[in-house]
Amino acid sequence: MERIQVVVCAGTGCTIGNSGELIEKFKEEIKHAGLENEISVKKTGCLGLCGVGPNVAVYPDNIIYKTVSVDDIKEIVTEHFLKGRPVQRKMLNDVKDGKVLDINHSSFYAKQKRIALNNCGVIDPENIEEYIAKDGYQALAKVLTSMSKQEVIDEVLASGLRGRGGGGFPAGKKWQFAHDQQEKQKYVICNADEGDPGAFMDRSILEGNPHSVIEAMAIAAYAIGANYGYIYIRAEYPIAVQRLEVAIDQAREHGLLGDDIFGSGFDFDLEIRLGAGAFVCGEETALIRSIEGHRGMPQPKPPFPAVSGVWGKPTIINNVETYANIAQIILKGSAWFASIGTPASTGTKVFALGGKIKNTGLVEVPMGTTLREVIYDIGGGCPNGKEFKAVQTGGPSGGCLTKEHLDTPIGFDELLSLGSMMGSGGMIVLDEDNCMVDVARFYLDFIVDESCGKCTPCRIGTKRLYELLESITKGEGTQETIDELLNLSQVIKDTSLCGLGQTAPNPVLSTLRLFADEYQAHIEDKKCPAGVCKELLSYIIDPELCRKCGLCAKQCPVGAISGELGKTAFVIDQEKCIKCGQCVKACHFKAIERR
Amino acid sequence: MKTVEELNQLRTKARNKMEMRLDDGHDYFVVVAMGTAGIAAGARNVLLKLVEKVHELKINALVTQDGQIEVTGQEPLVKIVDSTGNQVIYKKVDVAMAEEIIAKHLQNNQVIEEYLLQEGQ
Ligand SMILES: Cc1cc2nc3c(=O)[nH]c(=O)nc-3n(C[C@H](O)[C@H](O)[C@H](O)COP(=O)(O)O)c2cc1C
Repeated sequence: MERIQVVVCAGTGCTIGNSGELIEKFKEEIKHAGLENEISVKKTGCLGLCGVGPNVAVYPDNIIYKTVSVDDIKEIVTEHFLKGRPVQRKMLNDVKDGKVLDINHSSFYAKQKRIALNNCGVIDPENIEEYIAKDGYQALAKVLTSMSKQEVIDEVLASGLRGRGGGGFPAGKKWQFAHDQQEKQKYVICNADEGDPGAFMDRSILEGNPHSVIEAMAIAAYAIGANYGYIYIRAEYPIAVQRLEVAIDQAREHGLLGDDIFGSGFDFDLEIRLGAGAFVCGEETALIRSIEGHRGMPQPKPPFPAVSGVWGKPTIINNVETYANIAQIILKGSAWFASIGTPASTGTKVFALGGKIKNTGLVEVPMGTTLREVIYDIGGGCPNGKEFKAVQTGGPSGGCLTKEHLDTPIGFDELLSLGSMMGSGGMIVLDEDNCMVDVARFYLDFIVDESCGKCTPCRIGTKRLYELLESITKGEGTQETIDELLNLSQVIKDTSLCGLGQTAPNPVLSTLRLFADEYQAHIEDKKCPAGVCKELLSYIIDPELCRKCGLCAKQCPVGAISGELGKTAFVIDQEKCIKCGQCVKACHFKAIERR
Repeated sequence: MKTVEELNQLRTKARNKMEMRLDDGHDYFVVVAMGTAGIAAGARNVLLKLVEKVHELKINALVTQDGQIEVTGQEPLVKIVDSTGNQVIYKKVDVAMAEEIIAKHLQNNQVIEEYLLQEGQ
């Protein structure tokens, strides 16, 4: 009889960390200890703390192990599984007075609430029965057997659910538009393109609980009167694609996709369309073009997809995370959902925490949680005692928030009013070592690469923006450069065809507004305060401190350092120096200064 | 499947296989002290019997293990905590006693006084 279940994270991060081999090793050691009839091992989705993966959860004890390697497994099996003594040095759970605390009381999980990530890290995503055990497909059954289309739409409207793909448009409204169209053929699409650098929320949902998205798409299709769907996902997400394929097959085998679902007369099926990983293909009209087999380029709106979408038919397109909330809204009711979060931003939001933060990973918090709670209480703050400088949200379309904004409750409108945006949920923390001009340059570099080239302001304008920023980082900027940045930004915003161009200047405008002094330092003093822009740096050896050992000269890859061993202080030739910083690392006497 | 009943049947069947991963509350937590002393005194057989019976009789209890509950010479020890947090510890439990504890304590909420580990023992 089974008494312990071990679930090993098989998301992308932990898979790279070798979690596949862990499963085999667990099985081997469990067998070796003669416990194979008592303990089972399964794979699961993201547990959240990707930075200390691979993660392994043990039930019923509710203990999570971190950074588990093949070498730890024997100890976990004999000490914990056989003798009941959890291996504390590997545990994520806090321990107080010798007692292992519930994982939900640990600092990382205490302030989280998992709705979209519900079941991720608990069930085996490749086994439909585990999803069904956790009330999977009950919402679809309820909708098909007891609710009218309008009742479904009204429920979603009343929940206040807003699109999680970036724009925050009310999902129910979108469904209503599509429902009201008098066409016979309609479509539903799931946007799983997820192109923002640093974002992996949607991938994790699909890897951990693919059925939640499939079920929601069927519900949406019923509500608007569609019977076919597409999941548009980038081919760069092979694990998510494979789990989706397995899930779709299993749903078909169980009659949960196909004709006459639950004997209701409602037919629905869907297919996966692989994208090649272009950022612009996340934009809904470009995505639709891509599904149709054309080059992924945006179209002018109107017409909106709800009127004329894929194959010219009424289409709703929603984000993965938006869908992941639907089944629970149907089962637990719109009032329950609306009671979580804030009045204007209901429910929760998943964030991918990255950058200069201790707990890198995936978190889901109620809307209205403050940035401080996410970054400090859950994320653990900046590592190595560095000072927090800003957090970038909304990716290349978003902006930065600083120390003064830390107590802002997270919500669509709150972030917009501060000049940033919710975006899809990437949250990149920056510390004192990040140069804000360089950060803006990084995002523009990304945009220049990803601009599809259809409209001139975006194709040429963003390139010019990039060049202006680059000139500042090289110390060639003047006051006019700033004026030009502001001017050009406005023109690009006003005249670009799609959201990509219209929001591309945001990182520039946001950093210009919040970190004007840093721009000024680059322009007037020709200095980069964070010490990032190489052209503005110089490495100088203090002759007083130099012990004439020559270690720095040995390390210099370009032979820029000269001096006579034991006799004269060494000197760096500024013309030759490539500012790699190797000499600073080599010097034992802290004689080399970066200025 | 074509009906909601079929879905519900499959749910019931599937829940049986993953009870310990559901978020439902439990009437009792049953903790068996394993560790070297416990195992030497036969705690493993007690643990397995408890797991088997709880499952077989569909008792809403969660059976887990611990390294050591108390320092005694009275292993195997079994601690039972009810949903209000009240707890008792049984001492020198063998397989037959385990069945009796299930029948009396878990099924009929009747503490078996004579098996209890006394304070200070
Ligand atoms: C350049 C650009 C990229 C986008 N990328 C994504 C994306 O990766 N995923 C996504 O869901 N929405 C993305 N969007 C937003 C979509 O156009 C669309 O608004 C969204 O999928 C609607 O779903 P929602 O209402 O559920 O958020 C992008 C928009 C733009 C302008």
